Formats: sequence, structure tokens, C-alpha cells
Amino acid sequence: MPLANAHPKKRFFIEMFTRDIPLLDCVLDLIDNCVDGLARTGRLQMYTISDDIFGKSSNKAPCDADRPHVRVEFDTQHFRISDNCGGIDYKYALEDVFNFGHSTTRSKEYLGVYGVGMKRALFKMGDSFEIDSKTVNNGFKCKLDIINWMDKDATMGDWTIPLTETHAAKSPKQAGTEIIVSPLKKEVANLLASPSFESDLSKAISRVYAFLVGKHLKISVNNVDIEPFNIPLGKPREGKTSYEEFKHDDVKVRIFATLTSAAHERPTKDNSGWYVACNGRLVLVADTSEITGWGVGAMPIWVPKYTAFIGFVFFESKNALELPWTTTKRGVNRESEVYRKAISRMAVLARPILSFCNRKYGKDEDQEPIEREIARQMKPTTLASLVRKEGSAFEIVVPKEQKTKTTIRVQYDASISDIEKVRKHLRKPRMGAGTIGEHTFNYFLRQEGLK
Amino acid sequence: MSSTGKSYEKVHYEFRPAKQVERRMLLNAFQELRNCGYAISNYEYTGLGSIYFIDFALFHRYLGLTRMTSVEGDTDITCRVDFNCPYKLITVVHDDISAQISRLSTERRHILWLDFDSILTKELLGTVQLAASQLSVQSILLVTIDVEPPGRPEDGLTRWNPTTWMRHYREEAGAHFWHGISRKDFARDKLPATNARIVQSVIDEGLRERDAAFIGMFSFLYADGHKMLSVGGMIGGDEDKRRIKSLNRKELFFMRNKITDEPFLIRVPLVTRKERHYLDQNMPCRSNWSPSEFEMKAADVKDYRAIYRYYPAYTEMLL
Repeated sequence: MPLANAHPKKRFFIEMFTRDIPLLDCVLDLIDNCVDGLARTGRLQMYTISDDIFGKSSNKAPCDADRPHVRVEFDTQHFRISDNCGGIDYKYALEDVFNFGHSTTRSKEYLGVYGVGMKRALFKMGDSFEIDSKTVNNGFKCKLDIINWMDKDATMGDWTIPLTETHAAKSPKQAGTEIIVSPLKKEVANLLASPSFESDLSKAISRVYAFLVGKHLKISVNNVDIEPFNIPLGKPREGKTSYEEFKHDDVKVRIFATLTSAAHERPTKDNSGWYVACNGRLVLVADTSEITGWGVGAMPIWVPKYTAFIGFVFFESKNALELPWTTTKRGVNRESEVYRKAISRMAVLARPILSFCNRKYGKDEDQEPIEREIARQMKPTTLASLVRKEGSAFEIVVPKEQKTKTTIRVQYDASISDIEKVRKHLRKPRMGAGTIGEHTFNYFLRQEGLK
Repeated sequence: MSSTGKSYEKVHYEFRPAKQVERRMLLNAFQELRNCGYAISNYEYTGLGSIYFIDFALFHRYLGLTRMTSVEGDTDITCRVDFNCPYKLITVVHDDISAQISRLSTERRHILWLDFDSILTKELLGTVQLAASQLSVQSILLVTIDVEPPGRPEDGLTRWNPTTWMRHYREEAGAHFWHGISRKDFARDKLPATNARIVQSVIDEGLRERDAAFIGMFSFLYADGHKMLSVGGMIGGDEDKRRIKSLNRKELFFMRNKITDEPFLIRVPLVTRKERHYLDQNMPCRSNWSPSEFEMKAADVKDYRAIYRYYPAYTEMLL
């Protein structure tokens, strides 16, 4: 039987494959590689990171001085990322790191799950790169002119990258990797020059690695340390928040839904919606789209009155391939079975909170619904304190005596000249219109013997 | 969507004979389910009791249900609902029914009656889907909806016809339209079947990620004023399907195998108390029987024969 060619072409990986991912996500992919360094050296287990978040402390957080540091630096000439997260083993680099896709024997516990992130990022950014990595056992260097490498593509023998073995790191603290991309592609240089890119990247890092930054590692962008995103979770004074967990094959799913805390800054669309994390890495942040079920089936379309809603979904598995993330890890695979199951439960858990938000806007404009006061009293809390042994649905205990309000707002227009007459009559030229309203109302009650 | 709307202001619930026949038929079916091994008395009943609580009283008295929750979304009648609650064991929740569905325990079995009085809307269907996602296996889900044509008849036939009705349904339930659906499916007499098919699709959607199916049991069509459709069944597995199939169908002649089957028409003929006594003395009657003492159409006799066991008796009580 004649066999048709089905060979890979370097041009596809360098010129086509790189079109599907934004530059910002490429930088995050490179940071994932740094985090995986911690995982390879046993300092961090990503599939138990949720345990840390939920208060079990499976991964011991290092003290400030020992915290590994990922440095991201760039200008219009070069991009550099360096870390002291443990480095890449020379043998591992020879056999696996530069493959397109991982071998089946490789551990599936890491963030770098698909085996494309680092290569795609480097190809996207520039025409040449250098890697210098050291573990406590060995080290290697690599320098690649991407254009020359792409041109040599006759046989599978051309699909290799030259490595030079170097010496090992002197101490675990010095073990790490440095990657420099230079010269940069023109469009990349332009993007890196834009002031908004640096702030967008810092914001994305702060959110995507919200559960790692400041605890398990330090990340800086152009020498400015990133602060972890402060999740505005709220807990009612009396009542429950929504929580549920279930297992689907090898994936454990935990779902939380509540209102934002009043102690944080005023809730905005920027913070509202669903947050989805896979092995501790946030893949969706404050999502209010169809991807997280808004406007589909039982979930209404997100509208501003739902700004106070906040929900979290954690997927975790020892086999990261089972997780419902996309190859860019900035989105979810909506067709994955575990995600579809989660979506139907997310709608159930969100519903009482959305009903509560609806009640914040009562029919009677003059009366402020009690729900607004309750929302203002939401206390800041942590995910750990929202975990329940059994599932629960959001329920607020409304104090009986507060159900019916005893006051009602009275508003009316009065002519300015009449108000002036009252001020003059009372000899209080600075008396406010509201006080005059109250004064005249009380006067009527007294005159008529009603008070 | 208000859980009760204002229907409690339009008609005294106690004088809705067809609705009461429906309730009693359901009661009969639940008793048969109990006889075939379902621990119905331990089920939790959640309904929209409004200010009348008739279904609650019936199910508490005759099924022995003690866990009951009435959900009221209308904030204008909070005190009135609490005041009219007939038993201490009924918990009245002032919230959206959809919010309460999320709180239903997945460990317990339920009878949930989404007794809406409005025509089908997106929000209403969302609530049905939520129920299908949340209710535990062996729970019973009932959905009642108004199947009158949407819109206002006074707008005239150019603006109130199957095309405009189809437009309404497309807006509210377009995601559940099937291939080949046309304006013919929205003719007045086709609306119950179309509604049932949409509700079935929504329930299937809610159950999609679950290891359970919806086993259709009921489809009632009646009109005490507006034409209403009630469909219902059990969320269960193959064993439940087998047990439900084995129920005494002669006793439960009104039962259906699918909610999209031809509905059982509840028609309550208007008869005087004296006529009723006479008719009851001759029930159950042969199919060609007619009263010899007074005139009565054969169709009315047939309807009466179907519902006489469930027909409520009304008397004036001077308190």
C-alpha cells in the first residue's frame, strides 16, 4: 500500500501555530515553565495547591528570603525571563523539553501540560533566543537562530536543537533558567513598547497566579514586584454561601459562589463573575460570558445588577491533561465532560445569589430593600472559610424585624422662592432644602395633632 | 417571573374544579407509587402555595408528607401568605422559586410542583432546567403552564395569530425549537403539544450531565378559565422506569408514558347537586349509559364518568 507523507514542517510551528496565541499569554506560558521548575524539584505540587488555598497546607510556603523569584524584563530590543526555580535538567532538555508535545511517560502533574508553550512563545517573540539553565546536578546552554533553523527542514534529522552542557549551580538557590529573546519581531517590539502592555501583563500575572504570588514565589515585571490579586470574597453576617464539590474521573471539582465583600473596593464588572482555576492557575477571571454559562439555560445574561456576584471553580488533578483548560491556559474547553458537568452545577449554585441581587432593586423606588443593607454588611473572607463538609446553597437570614421598614422616603419639588420665604421666616438663611422639608412636615403633624 | 403572579386575586383557588380534579388525580398516583415501594411520605414537597395552600393540605392529609415548603416570590403579600399558612410544619420561604430549588437537598427525595400561571418564558424554562439539574433521583417534577396564545386578542388577527405566537416562543424558547418546526405548530390547538415538547427538551437539557432520565407520567390539559397544561414525571433510572410501568394503569387511567403524549383532558361538566347525586348512584356506568331522569349529552356523561371520583363537592358554609 503506498504511504502518503504526513511530515511536520517547521514553518507551520513558527509562522502559523504562533498566530493562535496573544503575546501576553506567551509570557504567561514562560512563567508556567518557571513554576514547573518548582514542581520538578519537589518544592510545589500543583495538583494539591487547592489544599493550600483551602487551609490544609500540603505545600509548605517558603519564608520571604527563600522565595524563588521570577524576573520578567523587556524593552524594544530584547525580552528576558529568569528564575531560580530549580532549572531544567540537561538529560530532560535533551530528551523532552524541545519536543513538540510531551512523551507519554512524562509526569502529567505540571502546568506545562501540552509541550508547546515555551517553543510557541519563543517562536512568536523573536528571530533568535538563548537559554541558560542550571540545576544542582548539571546545566546546559542553547542558542538558536530561528530563521536559519526553519530553513533546514529536509528530514527529521533537522528537527534537533544544539545544546552545550555547562556546570551545575553552586546551590539550590542559584539553580534556575534564563531565557533571552533578541532580536524581537517588529510587532512584538511595538507591543512591548506600549505602556499598556506592561500594566496588562502585571494585572494578568497578579490574577492568573493569585494563589502562588507572594506565597510560593515572587514575580516581578521590569523590576516591579507583582502583588497577588485580592479576591473580594464576602460572607454574610448570618447565613450560608454556596459550596459544592464532586469528583469526575480523576478530576476533583470545588465550586464556590457568594457576594463580594463590602470591605473591598466597590464591586465592578472587572471583579464580578466566575473565576475558573485548573491546578491553582486561574484560566478564567471574572468571566461574565456564555463560556461560564451566563445567558445559557438557567443562567440569565450578566447585567450590572449582578456586579456583586462572585463565583470560583477549582479543577484539580494529578493528570493535568484531564483538566478542562485550553492549550493557551487562558480559557476552558467547553466540550470537556467535567466542565459541562461543572457548568450545570454552577448555574444551580449561582441562582440564589442572583435572586438576592434581583431583590436589591425593589419595585418601590422610595423604599430601600433590606437586601442592599445586607450586601453592604458582607464581611471579607477567604476561600478556606467557605469550604463546607457538605454542599450548601446561598441563604441569607433576614432579621424578622427588618423585613418591614418603618420609614419611607418623601420627595417633592418646591419652588425656590417658597424655600427662600421659609428660610427668611425662620431666620435661617443657610437651612438646606431637605431640612426645610422635614421641618414643614413635622409642623403639619404637630398642628394637626398627629404627633 | 413572580411565582404566583396575581392569579390569587383573579379566582378563588377553592372554586377551580378542574384544578382540584388534577390535584386529586396526582394524589391518587402518589398513593399508588407508595404502594409500589416509593417512600412518598418521606418526600419533601415544595410548591407555590400562594395564600390558599390547597395542595399542601391535600398532600399532608392524604400522603402524610411532613416536610413541606411553600415558596412565595411576591413581596406584596408576605404577611398574607404567612397568615394563611395552615400548618406549622409548612415552611414559607419568601424568595424566587429558582433560588429555593438550589437549596433542595440532593440527599432527600422531593415532589416539586412548579405550578406557574404564566405562559412559557425564558426565565420559567430556566427554572425547569434548574429543577432537572438539582432534583435527586426518584424525585417527582411537575410543571404547570398557561398554554393560551401569547399576546393580546384585542390587537386583532393581524397582530395576534400563529406567526406572532411563534415569534414569542422563538424569543423565549428558540434554543429548544426542533428541526422542521413551523407556524403550524403554533396554531391554537397545537400549543399544548408544542409547549410539552419544549418542556421535555428543557428537562433533558437539565439532565444532560446526569446519570438519570426523566420518566414521563402525567400530562393534563384543563381550563377553569385559561387553558392550562400540567406535565410531570420522575427523575430516575431503568429500575424506576420498570416500576412505573408496572403501576396499575386501570386505576391510573389518566397516566401517560411521556409528557409529550396526548394529554388527559380534564373536563368538569356543570351539574346540579341533585343531578350529581343521581349520577354518582349510577357510577361507574357503562359506556353507552345515559341518565333517564334528565337530559345530558353523551360527551358530558363520558367526562363525568372519568372524573367523578376526583370531583370536589362545594357547599356554602356559614361561619
